[in-house]
Amino acid sequence: MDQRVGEVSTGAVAAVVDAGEVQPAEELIPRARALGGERALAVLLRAGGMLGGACFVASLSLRLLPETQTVHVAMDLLQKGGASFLIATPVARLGVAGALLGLRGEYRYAAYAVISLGLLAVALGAGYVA
Amino acid sequence: MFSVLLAVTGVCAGALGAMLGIGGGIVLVPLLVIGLGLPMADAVPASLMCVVATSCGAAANYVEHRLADVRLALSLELATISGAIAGGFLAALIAQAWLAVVFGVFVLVTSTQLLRPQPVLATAGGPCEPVHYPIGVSGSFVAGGLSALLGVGGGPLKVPLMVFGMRVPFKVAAATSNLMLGVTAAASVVGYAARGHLRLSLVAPLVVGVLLGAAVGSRLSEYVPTRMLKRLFALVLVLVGAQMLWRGGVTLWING
Repeated sequence: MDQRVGEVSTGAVAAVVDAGEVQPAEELIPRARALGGERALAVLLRAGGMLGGACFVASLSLRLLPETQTVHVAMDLLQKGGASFLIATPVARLGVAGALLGLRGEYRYAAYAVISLGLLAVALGAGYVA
Repeated sequence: MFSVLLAVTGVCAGALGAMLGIGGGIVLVPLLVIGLGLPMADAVPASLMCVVATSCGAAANYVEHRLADVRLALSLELATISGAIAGGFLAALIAQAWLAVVFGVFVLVTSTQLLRPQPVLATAGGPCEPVHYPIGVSGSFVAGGLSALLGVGGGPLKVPLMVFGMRVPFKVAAATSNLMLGVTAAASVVGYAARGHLRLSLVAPLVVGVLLGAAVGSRLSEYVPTRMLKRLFALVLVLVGAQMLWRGGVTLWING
């Protein structure tokens, strides 16, 4: 019998009792529903974050050099590149998550992603800032 | 030296934002304006950029470790974006001072609820199944509208909404909120950048710090007891609530 007990009122760590055996605490963290493409999404998010971060780190390191026109242009380009990577990442994540779920036959979520992207595009096109 | 200070500020905001699912803007704007003396016009777009960075930095871990519920995020994102657009259109019709007061009271009440003992959840260790989608979707619509009307991020509303309204465990709610915040913040940043309000020289050290903080925070959140996270979240809610009550109260006082 698998008797699961969640977080209790005291906030103490919950216990999973399976045939009288208490599982280690780290296995008791609640998990979200499986997606089937978690790794791909994580790689996308990590890559976007790292590329953006790398561009900003490079631009910061250029501040150590004597300020010339070339250095200034390079810094500007790197900063714009970093910001672009970061901004594009969550939007790409939305599209990829919708596509992954669509491929699994969960078209409702794919439709949500498409509509969300469409609304964002319309809002941005109208110059709206939330 | 100022860049180092910004980066350290970013680390703190990123770690806190990642652990609590609030993005970090709520912490960052007061720190930048009051602590570092930056003008609000520079601080708000910079903090939004940091919310995007927090989302990217933390969500990778959360998705990989299945703490963030992607389906739930997609459902609520749509409602939030719709609400934000509706809020933008309603801005001229609604008395924002009264809204700020009501929101402040609501957030303070929510913070006390977070500190109260919670009912036992039967999902620890297994996949959680959110319930009451109509509550979650309508609440996210309101959260999106409020974020547009009052300039507060959706995290302080959406995390309690998922926890109390949809029976999502706190850590999953925080991770899912973190995943969602990136999209709306990215759209807002584009809007500010298009108007020339995004100061990238200011953003650069902040984002580097935030990415580091978010990566650490997202790993830490698996090990920090939920009870402690809830207390931290309640404290943030108290700050947000007090800020909203002050803002609304002052405006109402001045206008008689």
